[in-house]
Amino acid sequence: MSRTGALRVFAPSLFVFALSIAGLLLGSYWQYVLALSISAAVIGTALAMIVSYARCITIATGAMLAIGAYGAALPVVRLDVPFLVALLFATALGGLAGLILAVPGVRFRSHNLAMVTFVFQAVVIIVLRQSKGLTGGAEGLPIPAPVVFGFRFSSDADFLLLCGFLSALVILPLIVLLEGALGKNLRAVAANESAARAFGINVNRHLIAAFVWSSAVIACAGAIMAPRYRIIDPDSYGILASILALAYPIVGGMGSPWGGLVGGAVLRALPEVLRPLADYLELMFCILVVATIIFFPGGFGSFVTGTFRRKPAKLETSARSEPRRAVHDFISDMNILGRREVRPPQDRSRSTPILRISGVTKSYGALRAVSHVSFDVTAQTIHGLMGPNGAGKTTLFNIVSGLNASDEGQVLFDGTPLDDVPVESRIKLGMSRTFQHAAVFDKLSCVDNVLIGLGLNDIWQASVRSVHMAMHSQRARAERKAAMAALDAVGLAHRAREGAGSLSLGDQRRLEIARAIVSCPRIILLDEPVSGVSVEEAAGLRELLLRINRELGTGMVVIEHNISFLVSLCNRISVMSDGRIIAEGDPDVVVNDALVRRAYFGEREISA
Amino acid sequence: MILQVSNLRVTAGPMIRVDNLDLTLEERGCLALLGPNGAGKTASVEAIIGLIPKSSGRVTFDGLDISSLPASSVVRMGLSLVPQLRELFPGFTVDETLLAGANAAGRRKAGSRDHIYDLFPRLAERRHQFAGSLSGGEQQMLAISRALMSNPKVILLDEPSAGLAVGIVRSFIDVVRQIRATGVAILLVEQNLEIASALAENCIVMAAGRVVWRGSADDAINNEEIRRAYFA
Amino acid sequence: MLSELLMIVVGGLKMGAIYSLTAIGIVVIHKATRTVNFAHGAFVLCGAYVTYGIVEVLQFGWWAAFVLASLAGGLLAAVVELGILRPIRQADSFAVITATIFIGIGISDIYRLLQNTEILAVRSMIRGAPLFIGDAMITREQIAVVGGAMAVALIGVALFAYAKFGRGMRAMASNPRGAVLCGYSSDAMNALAWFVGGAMAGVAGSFAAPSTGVTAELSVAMVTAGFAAAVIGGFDSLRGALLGGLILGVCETLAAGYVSSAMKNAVSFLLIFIILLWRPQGLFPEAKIRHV
Repeated sequence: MSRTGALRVFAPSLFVFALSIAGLLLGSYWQYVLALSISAAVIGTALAMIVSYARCITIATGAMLAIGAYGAALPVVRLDVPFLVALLFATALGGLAGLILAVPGVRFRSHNLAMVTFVFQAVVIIVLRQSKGLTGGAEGLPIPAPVVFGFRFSSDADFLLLCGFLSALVILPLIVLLEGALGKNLRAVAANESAARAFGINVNRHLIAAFVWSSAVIACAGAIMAPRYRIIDPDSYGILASILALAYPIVGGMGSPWGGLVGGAVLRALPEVLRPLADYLELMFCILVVATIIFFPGGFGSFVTGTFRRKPAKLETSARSEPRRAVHDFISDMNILGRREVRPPQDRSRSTPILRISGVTKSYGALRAVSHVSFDVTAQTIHGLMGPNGAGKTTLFNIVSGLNASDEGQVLFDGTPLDDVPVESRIKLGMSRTFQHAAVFDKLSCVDNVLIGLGLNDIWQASVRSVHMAMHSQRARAERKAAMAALDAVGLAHRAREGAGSLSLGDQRRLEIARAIVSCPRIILLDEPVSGVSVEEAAGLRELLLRINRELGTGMVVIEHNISFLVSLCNRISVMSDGRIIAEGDPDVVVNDALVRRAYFGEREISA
Repeated sequence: MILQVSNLRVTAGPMIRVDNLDLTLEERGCLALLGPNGAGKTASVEAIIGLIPKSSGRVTFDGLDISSLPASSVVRMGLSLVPQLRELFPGFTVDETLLAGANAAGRRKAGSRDHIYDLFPRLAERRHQFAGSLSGGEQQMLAISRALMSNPKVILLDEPSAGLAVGIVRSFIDVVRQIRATGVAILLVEQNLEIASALAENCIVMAAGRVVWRGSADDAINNEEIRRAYFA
Repeated sequence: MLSELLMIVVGGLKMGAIYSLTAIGIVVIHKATRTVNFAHGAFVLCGAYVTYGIVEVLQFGWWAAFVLASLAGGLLAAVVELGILRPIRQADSFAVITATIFIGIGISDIYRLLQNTEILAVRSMIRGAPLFIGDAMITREQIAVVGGAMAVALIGVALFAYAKFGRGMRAMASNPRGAVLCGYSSDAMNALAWFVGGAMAGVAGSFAAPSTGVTAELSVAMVTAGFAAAVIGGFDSLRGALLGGLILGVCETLAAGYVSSAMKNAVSFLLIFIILLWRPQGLFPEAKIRHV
């Protein structure tokens, strides 16, 4: 495991460097082509972060390359700054440009974000073209061959080596982040923003980080390659360059950094290899991209892995790994955050409410979805919430977990008002949830889903954890053990490495529960945990939830339409109808309540 | 019979929403489809009309197999749906909504707006108001009117009473009776047993995607089995 | 001074009216099919190229050019929709947007392959002595383009608002499920919306050809201007797009006249940026009527 982990991280760098070594056997022209290819591989890898992982469309790649190229060339040409220093400066400048682009940009998604990147692209090129005094404008800026520690990299072979070495170096941190927590978080954001936020991922900061990192690396690639062009001009970094670069990860494959890397390397070399067809290349390129989107939506990478990777044996939906230990043994594994004392739950001190909802109201236009709802959830108990469709249950959940703001009222968690606690921070207080539509992150493996459930997803934490994962440190191992313990607890240990999207609905619900318990929360909000699952699976899930409650002392609030399930699970039930609480009490009493029956059957005096 | 459904199965991803549903609706008849939340009633009618895909099963309407037709073609043949969420066009006036509804008549003769305004005087008063500005009850009337504009032979009514005040429900029952009197057959989806028994002769009770009870509407109201379906 | 300003404004209105037509096409397609069409500039280019063929090569009249350019633009758009976008719309907006980006580049490139010259000139629609208002000189062509393009734009807006097929497209835009239940086929409505949007782009190409000439760059230039105009108008409002185009055109000529000609190219980008950040709903958002 450890060896393959290290391989995952170093392989792209080794591949790039090996490519440059192998290139020494080629002629000078092909060495030049290979250098172009390696540079495009770096660009493709950087774009994998934005395009494949965060699924944002950027057409500012050309601008970032230009910023890197001019950012390194100008200090060298005008100020005689050493090449490597200028390279560092250009990389930092690229990161800054990414920040300037992303801070306003991430307020938008999809086409509007694409437009902002387009604007950025256009403005950068216009500025470069206009500042003739500094950049030489459209006539171009001649650049000398790079000099490092006195050695002049002027021949194609020398330059190829330099390019291969620097490129290998610069993609390493990128791969660490992509393969680590940050990359997983970005994919979680792309899969489901609400779920990502509920587990502590600050979406905008993650997207900004993605733009900063990827822009810095693209700028660096631009800076490395610029001297080889001898002369650079703004228009070769125009909109067309950006759009062609966008194709790298799309054609190469969106499933891993390799897609962008190989896609970039191959697509950049194609025009040189297919010289005789040069006129038709651009058109072929466009056809290739559109055909990829239509026929291989994940790019060629996923086509290849899908064809050659050993397909996991299809398991019966009922097949489930038996937990190897009692649930309270898991807690020592899961309790890596030291968030709670490891002890079996104490007496259910029924007087202390862990969650106090008072007077919560939420309206959408004239529709009052939740109207002055108040109830307490006692610590370590299971509290049911039932009611007909449109009663406001999920809206209430979204208010408690922080995805929606209430118009009035207050939610107290263990005595602390939650008004000013953003949704991303609530998991750290000890609150987690599941979603009505089983919001697993379908492109990630089960164990990665659960790792996100740990809630250690501040942008800084995610970056540090990425490094830990790459180094396979003790901490990373402990996290993984915790995730495996949680998977084991729900009976999914045997499917840990499979994609969450391939699970049956019942298993996806189990995975959601694993993700919700791994942080050892004090309360879990479960939104329709058994809707759509078979009777047997529902019974299994009930046993699981009861055990988690009994042995971990985790409190729960459960929305469910399946009333017998709710009655057999809960210590107490509140019933909502038309945004109000219409009954609350012991399950058996509530179900026989006249008002409740009326809400469900509609036993109104209509025939009168 | 005007509408026959056999062996209908609807799935959504890994989830089975409707399993093995059979039903028959007689000409001019009224059949109620009952059941608690999540029983698969809405999925059933949406699959019947072709709004969501069926994984298997056969639907015959007026002697023709419509199983694989898209909803836009089915409604033109005279099978209309009044959806649970009404699906109105907020920026259309009442009048314009009815004109859009008349489009579903296709080559058949469309309903007349005057007739609709006789049936719903409230809508006549508001004919130049935007659909989005109407009250819930008025929106429901408009949704039914839009379906009626295509002169359908069968209307699928999906939980028409949901969210309506008691007084409106009563007048709404009268309206449905009037529509039936004109010869339109109705498949009524309801949670509310009493409304169903006030309108339908026969009913089918679903739970968790399957049919759990069939029988006459009068028997349904005090049947313990149905009560269990709701609370189990 | 005043006459100079007047001339600049009229010059701006001329390009602005063309931008309006382009933007209205983008908005019609976006409203009816929820697709942001980055390939729209290619439809304009197609219209301009057809215009060149009719007017310069075949030496037919301008009326034939308008009819055939709009047909060509519309058919091209419908083919793109039916052949490429319809199958991928099930996926996410990411796939559709990237596809339109590359379709746009691809179509411009087909043009480049067909016609490898720098620029094709098209003679102006109307010749004759310019008119003078005070000292301000206004050409007949300027009047013809502003009047003609505005007329087409208004006809487009009116069709969308009042015609029978416009009702179907608006129903589809407002609530696709509801529209299907009214017997409107979503495939047919989508194709129709693309046809109408593409046809307006084609006409825009006809109007643009005499002023800009026909080049592969026209594609990117027009999609940028069209987007800027649509963003100014709120992206979902046809009237907004119409006004947005005029505003953009005038801003461009004002910048070129009073700041520098380089600023002219940057204006549309700056306007997109400012509007998106300061007023994402646009200057003329459509009044939203919500369900109650």
